[in-house]
Amino acid sequence: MTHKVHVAFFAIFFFLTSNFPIYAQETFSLSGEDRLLLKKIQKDTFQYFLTHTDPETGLTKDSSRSGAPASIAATGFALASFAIASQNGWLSYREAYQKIERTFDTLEQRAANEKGFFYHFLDPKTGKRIWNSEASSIDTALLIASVLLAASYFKGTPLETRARRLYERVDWNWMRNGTLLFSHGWKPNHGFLPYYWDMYAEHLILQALALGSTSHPVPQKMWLEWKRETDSYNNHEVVYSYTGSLFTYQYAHAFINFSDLNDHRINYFENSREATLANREFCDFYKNLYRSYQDNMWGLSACLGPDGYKAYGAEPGLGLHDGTIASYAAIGSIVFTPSESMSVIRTLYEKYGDRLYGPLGFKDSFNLDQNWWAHEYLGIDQGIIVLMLENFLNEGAVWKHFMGLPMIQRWVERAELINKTS
Amino acid sequence: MKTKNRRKHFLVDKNLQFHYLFYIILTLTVVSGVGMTGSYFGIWGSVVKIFSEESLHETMVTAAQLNEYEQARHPSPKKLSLPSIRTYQETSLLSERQKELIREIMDETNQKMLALGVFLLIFIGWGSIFLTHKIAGPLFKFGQYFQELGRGNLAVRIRLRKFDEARNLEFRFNEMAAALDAIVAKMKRITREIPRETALDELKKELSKIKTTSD
Repeated sequence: MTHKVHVAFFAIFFFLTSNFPIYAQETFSLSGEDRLLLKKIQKDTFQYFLTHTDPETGLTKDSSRSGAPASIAATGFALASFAIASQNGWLSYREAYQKIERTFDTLEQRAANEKGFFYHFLDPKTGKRIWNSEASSIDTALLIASVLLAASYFKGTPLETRARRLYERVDWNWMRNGTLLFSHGWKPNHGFLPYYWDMYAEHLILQALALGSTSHPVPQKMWLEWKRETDSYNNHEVVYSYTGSLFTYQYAHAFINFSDLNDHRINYFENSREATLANREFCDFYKNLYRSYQDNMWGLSACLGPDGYKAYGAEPGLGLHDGTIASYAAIGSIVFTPSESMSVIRTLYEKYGDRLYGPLGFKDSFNLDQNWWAHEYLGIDQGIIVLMLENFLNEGAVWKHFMGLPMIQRWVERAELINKTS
Repeated sequence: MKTKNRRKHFLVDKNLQFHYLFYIILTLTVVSGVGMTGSYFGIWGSVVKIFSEESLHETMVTAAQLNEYEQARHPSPKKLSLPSIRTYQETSLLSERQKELIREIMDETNQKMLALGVFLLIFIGWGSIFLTHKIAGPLFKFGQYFQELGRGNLAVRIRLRKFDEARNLEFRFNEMAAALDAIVAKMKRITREIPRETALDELKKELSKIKTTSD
């Protein structure tokens, strides 16, 4: 009898875990008040892209600071945000379409690129390469992912064809520089940068787009080449990134729904959840050392800090921290840890909102111990908030659009990921 | 023989010559003024703007931030612990940016100067045609009227534009044409109105007033 109960229990458990996104497994229920708060944060955060996107070129500034260059990743997040805004009624269909179209014009004709890989920083007025920046593999991947995502919201329009052409123009094969790993980038006077995406990080989106390409296909072996280093913190076993920054567990996940996909024994959605919980417990462990971590606050990720921009993170990983909390970190993890993230968001808004919340949503970060508060908003950090909240509040809306793309389906096949639902 | 044609007086028509002196000075002043203003805004304006205190501060902050991005993306404990390397990297980035800015200024200046050159060429071309027309126009008209006069039309009179040059010649030409017209008209009247016997004498008297090469 007992054996039968156990079998039945495991059968039900298996059914639940294999057919529903992991975030739905939780018993978390979003209150009406919290939903309103998240909607407000998402809408206000979206305003960054309206305010800091050049009206002529459609290129988006890296940060709200005066004199900041345009960043191609931020431009990508702006495209995705415009599409989401049209879906939410913050922009009309026509307005969103025209904004996306303007950026596409610049990307096709003016934005500096090398074999389809865009330079990391561009002049927002002309699209020329500035700051001696590199043709960046990851930033191009984030941009192209957003280009494809934005176009998928306007099915049957020329945007779809144009997005596909921009994607097909990227010579993914070139960026591996004859190896089985992707270089971080390439500079005209130096050639390929001596850094490669060789362990778990946000580059999963780069891998997905490259392996899904038919115009410039890369070897299938590339998916297996990068290391899946595993370590644990407080019994949270994680395939970890070098810095342990939360954003490395979020960026690819903003587009790709890993909850149903297994990479052999690894589920990267569950991995991000474990990494987020580890990040939270890491902060809790140091709460007596840093006042910022008290009141159940957490969120160690790359952001501005009292000593400049740093790749803050927790263990497993480098675990660099000084009491600075990134505002976007907990919000970007809301699909993995809704309850824990919501608790942080409420505190950020209610307790620190007067110093931290502005007309464009949460400013980048703060450090209570040094009484330091960021004055800036960073484009990519704003982007992850808009996309992750869209997934969380609208039943994985971004994922549904992105996962339906043929190149993503091709990557799933080529990487031999096991779809738990099939 | 050589000394015969040597100019003794350069200001033969002070009014006309000073008039044109003024035009030439005005044109050169406009051209050099526009050229200098263009150069200022093309080169120095951009340099002053880019190297203003506010702009320099922004550029330095951006250099620091972009270097921090770079370090955050490729972190290594060694890099984080050596402020001198960080300063060197920021300075190097800043210097790259300054080179880009200078290149941008030069490119912009080249474009502006090219546009300015085309504008000045059009301006000088148009101005030259306008000024030369003030002389060439009357000369052309005089040519036509002389031709008409040669064909025996003594009724022609020149009408020049208000600001055309050689308006004094217009008066003299018309005076000459009127005088010739009056003599020939009188001779015609004699043949028409005076009896034949006396007409010949009258005509001879009138013709004796006219000096020709056969006299």
